[in-house]
Amino acid sequence: MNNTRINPFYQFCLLLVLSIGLMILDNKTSLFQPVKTIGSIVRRPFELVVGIQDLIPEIAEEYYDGSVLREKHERLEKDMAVLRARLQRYDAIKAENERLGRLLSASVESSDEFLLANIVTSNIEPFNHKIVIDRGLESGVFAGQPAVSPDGVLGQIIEVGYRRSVVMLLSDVGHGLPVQVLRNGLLTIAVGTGKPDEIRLPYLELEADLRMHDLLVTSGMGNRFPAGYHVGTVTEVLKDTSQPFLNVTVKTSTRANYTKDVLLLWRPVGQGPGDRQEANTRGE
Amino acid sequence: MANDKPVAHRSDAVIIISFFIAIVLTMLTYPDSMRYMIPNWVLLVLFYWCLVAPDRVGVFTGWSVGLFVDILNFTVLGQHALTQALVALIAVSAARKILAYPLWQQCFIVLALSGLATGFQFWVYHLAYGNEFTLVYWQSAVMAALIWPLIRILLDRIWYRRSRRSA
Repeated sequence: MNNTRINPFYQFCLLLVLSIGLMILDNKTSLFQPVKTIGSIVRRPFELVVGIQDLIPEIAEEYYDGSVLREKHERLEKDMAVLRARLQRYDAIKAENERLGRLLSASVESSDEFLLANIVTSNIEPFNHKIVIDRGLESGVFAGQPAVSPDGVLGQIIEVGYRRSVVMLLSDVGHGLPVQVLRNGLLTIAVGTGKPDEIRLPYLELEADLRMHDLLVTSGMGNRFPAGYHVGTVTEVLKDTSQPFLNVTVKTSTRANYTKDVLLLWRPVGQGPGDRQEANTRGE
Repeated sequence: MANDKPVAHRSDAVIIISFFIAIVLTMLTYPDSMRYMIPNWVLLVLFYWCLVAPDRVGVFTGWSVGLFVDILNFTVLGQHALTQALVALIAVSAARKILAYPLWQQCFIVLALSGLATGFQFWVYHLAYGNEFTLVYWQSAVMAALIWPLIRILLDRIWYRRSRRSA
């Protein structure tokens, strides 16, 4: 920590050049993947301290009388009963769907594989909507992998460390997602707004059939996200005739700050050209 | 002289611990409504040490801490490093002048520096993803300025008590 030897200004000039070089190399090449891998290990002590924050509500819960927990338990059991009943029908429908598919000799889409992950850090910086989860190379996570929550699509993996990886949320300005309106099958692309849990549909012409509260699901286009996962509901449709496109705001189904569980998806082998390799490298 | 070494060692520990805490503070989960209000904790702590102990903490320390944050957060390597190096350069070069100002005037310097840092980060994102300019992002600079007196008083207490004991 000795800075007295060299004039701070010269130090800065040297580091300026170094930083710009680093930024360009990091952006354009994957030269620093080892550094990212190590980064996930260096995070550990910090995460241990940050983890205390999560314990606070748990400790507080201990002091509640049992009624709160009993209520929660009852609610969960009710939810489960409903879900199990629905699942029975789902199995039957799935079987029927597969049978029909085979009759038409179409390719049968089998279900996706899941891996459960937890959110470690819910936002890295205010500008970008990215979260860190506790799965990485070790579990076979790969860049571009879809991440969903029990409520809907969360985003996709953009950086992979050893035991940590970074998910870019739907609401990040850098994120685009092919979607479909469930009501009428209208296809379009949703992009992030940079506001929490908000995305928009910038490419719909003025005559497009879109209403408030329409549910959007993934369309499966682009071969990255499987079709049918919930994306969000339309909260605002602005029709400005001086503009070529509709101004549509969508609230995402997943509220990133209120979810703890993330499901990473592996699509079954043989779905797309690149998928076979990815599924193999998973190493179970 | 024989007394010098362990003391120096101990105060380095204070500096390192303060940076550790600053990084932990940035990693906490904050509610959505506070999202843009979180000050740049690392910048505040770095600014303090550059003023008070410019012989120990300077441009290179700022750069290293920034690079460490980049590695921890999986952000583009060099992005935080460059920002923090710039903040350290300004703080170290004008340390005596800044220290001579009353606390409330220092707040304005923190506002300017934090705004500069935010502006730079924002510019990087603007180039990379085309983020739109909003005033929301400047909330964190205002919060940093408001919190500065607290940081200053708190760290002064820890730092000067140690120095006095060693003197």
